[in-house]
Amino acid sequence: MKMLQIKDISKKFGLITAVEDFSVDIGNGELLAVLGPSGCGKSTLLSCIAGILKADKGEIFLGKRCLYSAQKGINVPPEERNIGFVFQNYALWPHMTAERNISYPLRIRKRTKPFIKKEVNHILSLLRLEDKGNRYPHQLSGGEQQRVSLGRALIMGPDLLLLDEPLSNLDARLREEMQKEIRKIQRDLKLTVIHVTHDQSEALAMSDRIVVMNNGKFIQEGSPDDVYNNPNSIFAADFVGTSNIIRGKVVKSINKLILVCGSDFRFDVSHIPIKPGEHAVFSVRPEDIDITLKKKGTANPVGTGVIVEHIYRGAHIQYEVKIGDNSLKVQVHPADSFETGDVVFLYFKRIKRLK
Amino acid sequence: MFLGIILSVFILYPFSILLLRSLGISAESFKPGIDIFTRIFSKRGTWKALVNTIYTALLVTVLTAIISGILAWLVVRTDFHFKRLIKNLSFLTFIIPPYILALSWLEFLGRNGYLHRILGYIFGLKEYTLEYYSITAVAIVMSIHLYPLVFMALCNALEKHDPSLENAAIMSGATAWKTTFSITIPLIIPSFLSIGLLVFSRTMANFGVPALLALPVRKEVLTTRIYASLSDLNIDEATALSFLLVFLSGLVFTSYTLIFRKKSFATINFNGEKPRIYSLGKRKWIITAVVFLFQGITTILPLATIFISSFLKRWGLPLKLEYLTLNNYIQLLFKNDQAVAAFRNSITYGITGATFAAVIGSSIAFISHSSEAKGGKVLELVASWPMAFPNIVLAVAAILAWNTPPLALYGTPWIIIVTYMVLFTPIIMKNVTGLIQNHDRTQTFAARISGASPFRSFLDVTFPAIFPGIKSGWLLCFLIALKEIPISLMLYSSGQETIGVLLFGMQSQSYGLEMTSTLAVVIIGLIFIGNIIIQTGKRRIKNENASD
Ligand SMILES: Nc1ncnc2c1ncn2[C@@H]1O[C@H](COP(=O)(O)OP(=O)(O)O)[C@@H](O)[C@H]1O
Ligand SMILES: [Mg+2]
Repeated sequence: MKMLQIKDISKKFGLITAVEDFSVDIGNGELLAVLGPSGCGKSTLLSCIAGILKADKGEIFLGKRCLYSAQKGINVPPEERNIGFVFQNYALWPHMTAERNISYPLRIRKRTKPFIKKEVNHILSLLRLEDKGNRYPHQLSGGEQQRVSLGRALIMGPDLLLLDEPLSNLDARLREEMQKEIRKIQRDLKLTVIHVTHDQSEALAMSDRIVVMNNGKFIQEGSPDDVYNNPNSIFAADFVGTSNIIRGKVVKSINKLILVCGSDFRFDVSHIPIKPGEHAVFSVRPEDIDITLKKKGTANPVGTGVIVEHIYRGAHIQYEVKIGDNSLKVQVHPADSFETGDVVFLYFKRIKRLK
Repeated sequence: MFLGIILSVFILYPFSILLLRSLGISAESFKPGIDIFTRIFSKRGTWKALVNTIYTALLVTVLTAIISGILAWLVVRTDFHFKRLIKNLSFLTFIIPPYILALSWLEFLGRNGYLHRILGYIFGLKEYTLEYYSITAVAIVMSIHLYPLVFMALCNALEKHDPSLENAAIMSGATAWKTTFSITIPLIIPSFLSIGLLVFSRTMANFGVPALLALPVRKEVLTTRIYASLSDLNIDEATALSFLLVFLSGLVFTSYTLIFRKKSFATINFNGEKPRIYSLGKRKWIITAVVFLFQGITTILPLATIFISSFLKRWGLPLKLEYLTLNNYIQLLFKNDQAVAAFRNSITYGITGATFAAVIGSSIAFISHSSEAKGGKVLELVASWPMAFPNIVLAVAAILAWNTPPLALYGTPWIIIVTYMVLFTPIIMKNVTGLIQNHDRTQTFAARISGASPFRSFLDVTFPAIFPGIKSGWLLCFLIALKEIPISLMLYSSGQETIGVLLFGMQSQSYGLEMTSTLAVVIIGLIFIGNIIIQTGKRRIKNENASD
């Protein structure tokens, strides 16, 4: 069931097009991540959905309700949309305590005092803030402020929850904790959530589905697994995880199709539907490349290269291997270490054609 | 819309009248030309006043720059002790109204003043030749009053600028001296210039000090000459002189904004590094003593002089217990009808003017900074206009505009209140603008998303955020009303005497310097309390923002 439908939303600021013809649907109870580099229009998109900004064109439906339609001239004001929003900087009101920040939406809705008290206590315990209710925002740590902001968005029982890079101001450990916590709350309360982030690992870890966005435009959507393994563009391949982009020309050789790239760099593409003479772009993940000092039995290596640099990453080592004019990033288990200057044979375990 | 009308009536109208009148155009006669100017410039007095004005302003600018430059460097960049104390003492100096400083100057250095008596007591000195009434005296008193302004601005500039710039010079092989002259000083020159121009125009605009210290020996500056021509009911001359003064301050004001815009190097300290601290070594204690001597003379001595005199039964009596009394305070605060009325008037006019200004100033700041309406910027520009005008000129403009119908406010308290409003509006506007610009708009959005209507979100979120600014601005303005002299002095009619009028006129009436001192002590006390309230308020805002 579709909870939120966004159709052809565009938003310009003067000459800058922040969001362009963006469409996406979100199912009920789904957590959708919108992933893109900073400045690509993620916040603008959320603001249009929330009604803080008025889109220039397009339509937005929440359930059956039309929130915005340029053609029909509908634009429901933000206060009537019942959408929760956690801002990147939290936007807590400095003159209200945590409790009063959280209870605000209910006070606006003129609920009874006992009801508000009950709901606030529930939220505080859900977010492990029981003893922080009387504190002012500046007396709370970053993580606590973040949870208060989340509580304020949750308390009104929103039809849709928008998270604008909520974890980007937290340190690595706390971020991971909050990822799990948000995911758990989302599942428990069966919330429909759009989570905006520029952090691909966060998007991959948390969401049911990912939409990749660049320069205000829709690039790709799919499950985390799908987006990671089947990027549909150079941008998606490079932005979601790391990729080596390889461009070359297909040539026929005896009974095989070979992609030739530069002089000493060629690999078998017989298993991919492609015609001789075509120019093609492929991506190879660093973890999908093997390097060895000696040739592996009968298999033909892609080429030989020289290790020019290495970065120690703890769980793995990343090498930069130079082959002719190209250089590839290769990820290797620390047990198989190499020296800078070693000449190695390269093998591709998996490649993806991009175009 | 409504604001536009108010601004046009109370700001644009008086100033246009001032301009037209000085060009020879008025309701009664139409003789456009620079006739009035040729007339005033044919008088030697005008030239003298002009020269004196510029001389005083220049002297004050140079003196304050030197004193404050050294002090700021000591406080920020050396291992000098008592840094906080130095700052607090200079702030204390700053809040003493300059007229009261001038008063204490007279009481201490004047004939039969404390110094004269001490010298007479010790050395049997009879001849006393100090020129305590002079233009230089004006410059010295104004320097004492204004150096804290320069000092604080320079401290700010020095603290803000990025120490890595200096470290880079040192790493490149420059000595400490070379670094100071090639990096540090050039970097704070913009601050020096902008604050110097402010000092220049403030000195030029001051009326009370030259009126007290120069006028008695027939030395004049432009402000006192305006006062004199008004006393002679020569409105045309007062208008032309005002125009001249405005022209001068306008020149300064324009160059101020130009320099400020073009030459502000972005030397913000990003990495929060501490600047290099120079060690003063053995000289530290000598330097400390000199600084304290300086501040003792500029802060403690004037305050003590005024304070002691306020308990004397009669100015000029020796300092003996039998001649001391509390009666001055009782008279001033409770018995003397004139004094009680002056307090009542100042408080009423101050509260009314400041309240009007708070409403208008904060509305303009809000409209111009948080809505898309284009008119907001125009309103802001017009409303901040009076800041460029000396108070005495505001008074002259008010006389011209309000002494004839359609709005004949002259003779009613409203003429003072309206002029206060014009004077205060930009002050409150500036106070609030800072807060609005810093105010995070997502906080308003958060309220909207939570279900609040635009008006409700303004009430619940935006207003609490700017209210501290309105409050402190209001108080600041109220304090100005308590000590301000020229506006009420030019505009009052009998029965509307304010504290400023009383302070200015007391000496020439049956009361002597002792009563004037008593009033001065009361004013300083009120200002002191007011400033403490303002400062604690500011600190609270800062703390809240700092820990965001
Ligand atoms: N209020 C605004 N006025 C003008 N340009 C804006 C405004 N808000 C955003 N932009 C521009 O729109 C683009 C997208 O911004 P934003 O949605 O904030 O990106 P993101 O959240 O993905 O970092 C950026 O180029 C930004 O500079
Ligand atoms: Mg953003």
